[in-house]
Amino acid sequence: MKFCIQLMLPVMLLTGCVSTENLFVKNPIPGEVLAKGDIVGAEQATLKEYTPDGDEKLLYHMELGLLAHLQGQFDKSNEHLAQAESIVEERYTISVSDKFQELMSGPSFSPYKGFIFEDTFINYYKALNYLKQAKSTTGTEKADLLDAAIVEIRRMNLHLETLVNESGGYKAPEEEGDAGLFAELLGIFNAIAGDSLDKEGLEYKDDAYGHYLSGLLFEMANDLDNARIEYEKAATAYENGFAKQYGLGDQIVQQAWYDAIKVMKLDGGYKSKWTRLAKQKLTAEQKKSILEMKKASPELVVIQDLGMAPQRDSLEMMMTIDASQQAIVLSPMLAFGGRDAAKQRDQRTWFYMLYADNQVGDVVRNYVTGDAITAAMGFAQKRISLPGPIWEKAQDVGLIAAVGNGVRVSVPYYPQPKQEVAKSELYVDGKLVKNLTMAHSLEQVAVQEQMRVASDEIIAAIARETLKAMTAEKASEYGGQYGALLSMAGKALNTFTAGADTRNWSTLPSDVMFTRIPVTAGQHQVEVRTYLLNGQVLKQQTLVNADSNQPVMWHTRTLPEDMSKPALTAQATMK
Amino acid sequence: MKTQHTLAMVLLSSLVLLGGCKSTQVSRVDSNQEIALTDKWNAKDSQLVADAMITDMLSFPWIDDHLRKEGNKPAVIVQRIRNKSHEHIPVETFINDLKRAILRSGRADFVADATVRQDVRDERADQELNSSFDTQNAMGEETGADYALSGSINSTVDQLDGDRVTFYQVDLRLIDMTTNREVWNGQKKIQKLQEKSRFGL
Repeated sequence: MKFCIQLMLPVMLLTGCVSTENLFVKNPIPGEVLAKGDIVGAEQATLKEYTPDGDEKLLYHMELGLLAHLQGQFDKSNEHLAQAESIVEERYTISVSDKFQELMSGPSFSPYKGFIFEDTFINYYKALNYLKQAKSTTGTEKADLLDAAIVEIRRMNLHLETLVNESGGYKAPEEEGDAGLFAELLGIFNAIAGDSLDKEGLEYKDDAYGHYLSGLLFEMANDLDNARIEYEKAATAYENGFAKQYGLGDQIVQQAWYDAIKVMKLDGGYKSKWTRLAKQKLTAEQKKSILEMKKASPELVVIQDLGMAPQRDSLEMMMTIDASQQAIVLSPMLAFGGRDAAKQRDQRTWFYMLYADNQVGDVVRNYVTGDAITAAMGFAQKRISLPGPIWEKAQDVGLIAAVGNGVRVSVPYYPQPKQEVAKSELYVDGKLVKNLTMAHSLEQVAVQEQMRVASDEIIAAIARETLKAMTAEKASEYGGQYGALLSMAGKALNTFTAGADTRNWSTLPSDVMFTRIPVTAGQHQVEVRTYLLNGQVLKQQTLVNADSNQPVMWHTRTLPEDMSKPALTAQATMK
Repeated sequence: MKTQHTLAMVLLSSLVLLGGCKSTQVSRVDSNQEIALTDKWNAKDSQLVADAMITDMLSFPWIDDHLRKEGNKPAVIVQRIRNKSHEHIPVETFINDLKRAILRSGRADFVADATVRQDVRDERADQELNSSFDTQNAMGEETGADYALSGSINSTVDQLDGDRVTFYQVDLRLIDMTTNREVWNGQKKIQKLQEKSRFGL
């Protein structure tokens, strides 16, 4: 009895931290509200869902920081994002009490740690905040704000350096040498052995767009040496894998090389290098432009943060024992059909490609690139064999008995990315100038990162739920006359706390679109038209002053207010 | 064995309780005392820079040279101190310390920067309209600066696992506004090591 009380105490304490409202009513997450174009509503949803000192304090500050940015409250945004950055800095130290909490309840009951790619966007938005503040000021104040934006860029670069050190970054095939060949061989043998998932190929190893933005800001600050370094880092990362991994196309690679070569020429002292690179990397048109360039000229840079980041959902599984085969069996518990047919398909596909016993490597690619029919074919169970001595050990420690008729296991997954936008066009002074090109896909990064850690997460979930089940089973032994009741209560609590951690920074965009063009000095009417697949056209306009021989930037967010509605011919003007 | 198990469970429960309970306490401490919660730029760094710069700036011969040549105290204007570091550093904290120390020494004066100057000019213009003749201050009587103080803050960061070495270098220079000669150059270097443990409570 004593044991049970001791066991239940921490769990009761933990569940006591969650409000009843949160347990029984699912509040909309901020991203869901923002997707309807309601920024203030999204802010209220954040305040309702998260607290500044709870397990979701990181989300609290990230969501509010981005929402304040969207409302033009740049100081407030920076305060929240600075708080978020401090919380991220604490992540290196693993809290034993948090881990214990996670073990006895579930990952959704422990502090939200965030994803590495989310860290990049903390500094990204802080830099944009300072940049936008600088726009409405003059003199020393403007110069100080531009310096502050660069400070954020330096902070982002420190974070990216750490990332590259840990992951190895994106290397050219010739740099990899024997290591590259070894990796290829490893891939072949992994496929033969049944592990078709190329984890390294899914890893967020560097952020080419982060480097590109750094280059741009250094160029805007007339620091051409640092601009050159960052543009080169961006170009090589895009070229060596970032663009291909996230399906960004070649245009952004060429743009990054063009800008790297341009600042090399402007900075002086790199003639042989830029001449060689221009021959190797640029199109005929770009080469002509570089050769004709005598000095810096005004340029318009348009950055469109587009859509909404995908939201994680929960994939439920039942873990049972197959005594005849001496194996643990995992079977997906899919959403019901009807309205949830798409969800069911996504869950089945996610299970099939990441957990089921299959050897079909291309399913992953088909899933992320939208070929649902190929990706969704069939599903299976996951069987983990416990041969001879391991089975006996599992019986001895009570694992087999504890799992008994079944234990619920839950892991997060991402619904299949949906293509909603056909293209974005840039109009300057009423004339169509250029299409925007995709520079980053946070949607792809998020989905691929989740896929990469999927096997680790399911192992952790199985171990956690097994331990919880074994502890609940023991309650019946020590609980005397109340044993059965306590065991039942323990199992019920386990089922309740077995939920997957589906939290993520929900107000981030899904993609970043980009373009830059030369303009004449003076004021220009700039418009971005976003063509949705449902037939709608979203228009966003602004006035831009190109009054110096440097790039001038317009950054905008296009919310998918009407993206999910059926096809119409109406035009919607964005705020 | 059973006792050990009980103790372990109580300990773990207490840990969770401790993690959940947090009280706020505020106390007054000496502003000279260093309280380094992280390796970020803090009040002590600002103070160290000010102390080093004040001693150095007053020890250079530019004030005596100016007095000998011009027969009056030199006037200095503070221009931009560019922050080229990876942190948002409020430069005014050590610049104001520097100004106070030099003004207190009585050996040099500071003139207002462009923003403050404009505010004062607006005030003088207002005086011309609204103040009595006896109390008005005349236009065109401002003191021009003899020297311009400017500088930069740079930093480097090296980190591996939980260890991080942060290096700051503050460079200030004083330029003779007539000749463009650099009459003083001060430098302060600060290095910090932060070590984070992999596990904590």
